[in-house]
Amino acid sequence: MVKKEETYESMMNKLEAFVKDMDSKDLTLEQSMKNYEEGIKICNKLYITLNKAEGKIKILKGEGNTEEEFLSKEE
Amino acid sequence: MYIKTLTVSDLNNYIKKSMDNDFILNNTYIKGEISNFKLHTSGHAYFSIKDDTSKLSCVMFRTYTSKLKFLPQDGMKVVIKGKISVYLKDGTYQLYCEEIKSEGLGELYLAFQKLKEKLEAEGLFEAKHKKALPKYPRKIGVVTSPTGAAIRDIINVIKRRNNNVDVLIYPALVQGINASENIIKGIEVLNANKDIDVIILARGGGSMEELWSFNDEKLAYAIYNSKKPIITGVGHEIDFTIVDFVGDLRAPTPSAAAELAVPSLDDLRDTVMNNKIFIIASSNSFLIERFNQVKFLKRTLELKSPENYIINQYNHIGNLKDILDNKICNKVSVEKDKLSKYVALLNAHNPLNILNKGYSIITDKKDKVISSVEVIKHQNLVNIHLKDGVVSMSLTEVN
Repeated sequence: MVKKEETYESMMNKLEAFVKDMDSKDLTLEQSMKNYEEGIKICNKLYITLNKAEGKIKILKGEGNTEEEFLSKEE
Repeated sequence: MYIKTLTVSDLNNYIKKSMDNDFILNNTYIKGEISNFKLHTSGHAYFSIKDDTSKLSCVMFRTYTSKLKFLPQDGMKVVIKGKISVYLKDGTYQLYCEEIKSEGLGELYLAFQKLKEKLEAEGLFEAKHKKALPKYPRKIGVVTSPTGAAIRDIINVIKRRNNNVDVLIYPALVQGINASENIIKGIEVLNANKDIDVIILARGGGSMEELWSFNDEKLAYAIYNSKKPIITGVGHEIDFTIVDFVGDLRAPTPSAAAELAVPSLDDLRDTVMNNKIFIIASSNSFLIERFNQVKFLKRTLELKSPENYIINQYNHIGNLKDILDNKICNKVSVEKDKLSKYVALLNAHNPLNILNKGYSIITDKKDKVISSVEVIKHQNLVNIHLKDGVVSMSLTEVN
């Protein structure tokens, strides 16, 4: 599996599928455990993706000078 | 009676002597209308005055013509002060003029009107011929008397308004019969000077006669033909002369002419300052408007920023994770329950439990359960399993 090519949406779809799977099907414990494990892994990946996005937003916000700073530079 | 024969010269001399000694002829005022007026290059003027029936030759020498306040013109009604004497060479008597005054101001005014109408008909006053004044002149030419108050006023005004403007003065006569020619020359000279941006023609206040040099046809044409714009400031506000009509701009006084010619540096500075303030203010407000626009868009952007989406996603993932946790926990507990049921069942079926109740199990040597007598018949040794141990027994008899 090439991680980088996996989008947030596709990972989310997978996660939802796992959850649905665990809900509807009469799984063996091993299958349930496998679903759970994969699900948690995907959750963590999704968290990482969101964290990165958040961090980037913070940086972008920090870079954009406020209007007051801009005006004071003018003078 | 002896009558002496006289030579012509003798006679003319005699008549002259007689006339010169005559009290009335020697100092008299004569009024009449001027005709054939000619100003000779020598400065002497020759003309005659007449009334309805008679004519009298007149001569005015340079000494007196130079004091004339205006150039007499044919048809002008005048009063002349002078004396009657004989011109020996021709044997004619004539009036030797000392002063010429117009018979009344009306006369001069009529002459003025006549010239004005003539020049107007010739198109000299038309607005389309008026030259525009330079907005920021660097060098001003002034045709005026070098000694009058006019030139001092003009210099004062120009220097006060803009000290960087140069003034070139052409000193001219501004009254008397030669004044017009003199002024024309000045206009020509200043026209030939490339640096001059505008010409001021000025003279301080005076009587109509004193200002008469400015009512000259040739001067009018010189102004009309001038390549450089001419501002006239002749006399006081109430005085109008021909040059005022033909000039490019009429100022009521010499000072006013200077004011019209030179823009005030202070005023210019004020204008520039006002424009500067206006430009700064308008560009500032332009900027502020743009800032507000950007600010508004930024706020909109922030409202729609992925932050909210991310927070929602956190919740969503959290929920899914909780579901996952629940599911797996449920699964495990379900399996646990299942297991414990089987354990209970197993326990229930555990044969060892029977031993606890006091029963025992018999097995062969290989611990195979023996449940019938037929089997036990063939055994000589059995194990008896009790609740607290195993006992080996040897068999002797079977019933």
